[in-house]
Amino acid sequence: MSTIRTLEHSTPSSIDYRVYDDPEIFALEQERIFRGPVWSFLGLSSEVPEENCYKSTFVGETPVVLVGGKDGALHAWVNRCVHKGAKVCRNARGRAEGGAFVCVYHQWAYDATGALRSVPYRRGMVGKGGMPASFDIKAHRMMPLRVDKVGDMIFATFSDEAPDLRSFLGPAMCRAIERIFVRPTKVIGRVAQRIEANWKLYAENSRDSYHGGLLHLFYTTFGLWRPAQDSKAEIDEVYGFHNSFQIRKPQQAEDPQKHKEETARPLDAMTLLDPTLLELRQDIGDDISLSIQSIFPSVVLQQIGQALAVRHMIVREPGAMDLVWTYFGFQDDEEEMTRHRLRAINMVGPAGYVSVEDGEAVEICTDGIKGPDGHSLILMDIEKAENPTVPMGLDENAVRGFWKGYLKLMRAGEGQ
Amino acid sequence: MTGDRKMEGLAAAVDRFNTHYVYVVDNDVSSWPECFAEDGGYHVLTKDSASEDLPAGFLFFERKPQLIDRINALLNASIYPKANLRHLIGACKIHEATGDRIKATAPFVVYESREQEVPSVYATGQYEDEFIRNEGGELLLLSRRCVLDNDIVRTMMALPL
Repeated sequence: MSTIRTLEHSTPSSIDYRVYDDPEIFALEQERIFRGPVWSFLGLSSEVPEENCYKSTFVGETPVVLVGGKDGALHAWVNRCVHKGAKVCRNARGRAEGGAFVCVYHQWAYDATGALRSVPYRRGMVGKGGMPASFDIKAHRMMPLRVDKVGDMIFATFSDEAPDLRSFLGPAMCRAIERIFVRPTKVIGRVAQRIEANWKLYAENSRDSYHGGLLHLFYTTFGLWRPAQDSKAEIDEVYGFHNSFQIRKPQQAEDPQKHKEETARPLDAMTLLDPTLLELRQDIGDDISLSIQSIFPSVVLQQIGQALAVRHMIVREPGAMDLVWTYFGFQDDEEEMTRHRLRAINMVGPAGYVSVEDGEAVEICTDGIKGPDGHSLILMDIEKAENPTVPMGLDENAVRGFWKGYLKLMRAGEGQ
Repeated sequence: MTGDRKMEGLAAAVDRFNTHYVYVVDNDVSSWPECFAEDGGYHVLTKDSASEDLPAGFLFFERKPQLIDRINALLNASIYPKANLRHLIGACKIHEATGDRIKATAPFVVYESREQEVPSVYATGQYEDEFIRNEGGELLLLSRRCVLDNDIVRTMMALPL
């Protein structure tokens, strides 16, 4: 089936399985999404706290470097020497002395903005060698991206057509981001997991509240299930492909019984010997205990209790992605608050009690869709579609929102 | 006993403990918490974070009851790929021994064999340990910090390192 037919066969509630594993789709995504009119996450402000601090990351499969410039300016450029295409910045993070980025291969040197500043033996030696007289050093630079931030989250785009960042995110998403970054933050650690699955399977997973109490059995096993009537789901106003889920602190006794009636697995509640990791501390200043915000295409901002993190999907190939978790706290956290964040982090991440299953869940989808053509069924609550007030766990609106935006971008240029 | 002889004796005791630890995690994981003292800690993070003094990693447990909770969750609630892990721990180095406390490090490798797959290296790294002796004179972990060379793991992290 051709790439275009595969896309035509897909609707937000029924995705052709080849959309996940076709290398041509993957190539088209690089062009129309990651290099298209979309802002991609690069890092947190605290990762480039001062001038000339940098972070090496990716937009889609393209290596990109984020650099702190003069007076709080931010720069981002494709990590590719104009000489022979070598990766100029070879470290994940650091500080470039004097703002100089020098390719190790032939020492072509760039400044923090990515502009070429010097080429060894440019004028040759004793009249021999050298670049041609027509070579204009000012005409060359590493490819720049537009950079902007909301809260402490820094994004970039290749596209001149992309709207400004705040318009791309929409007011509801900006509000949810800015709710977290109420005070200056600091990174407190990083971990990552290689997931052998297409990135869109994880993008769906992070928007899918339906699986929460069914796949992740930690709460139910330990009798901690909370009916989710105090939850709120929001979808961005413009595209519908970003979303946020929020849950308020429970105001009433918890009743695991209702959930047990719905689940097929035996749940003989055990007791947690030490529930300290679940304690909620005064932190951001409101009564929201959980907030998970998926921002198209490749980042999730989360607060689960005191575990604050960004999950950055690094797209490697059609069947592989890295999920990089950057944990952060506030600069004014006292030592005990940092310790409590470490306890709360046991709930999340590649080893976390309510997330250890996600890598496996999207890998079994990858295994399962091989073979005959077919499509998914994303129908939960579709008849009351776009209802933003449905309690978490009973709908797939945000998953359909992802696909609506995805398909629109992927079909752009096809006259649709 | 000379200082060197004493250190050799301690190193042999820690190596014996590590041999036991490997046996337990690979054959009888539900007994893993028994390798720890009542206020024994277990912390897993990357070398990258450790070198920058960033404390957050994969897991952070401060007391044995939390380790029992972890095992109960892994054996009763969590879903992860069916796999055999094989731990190998190298000879330890003793860094400090005062009273009933010993500080030591040891390198480790963990291989993972999933069903119908060739085995792969899941993690390599170094244990940074503090031991205490119980009333019977046996060593128990007061703290095991697993510092991973790899900054990324395959799929997830479930069973103990």
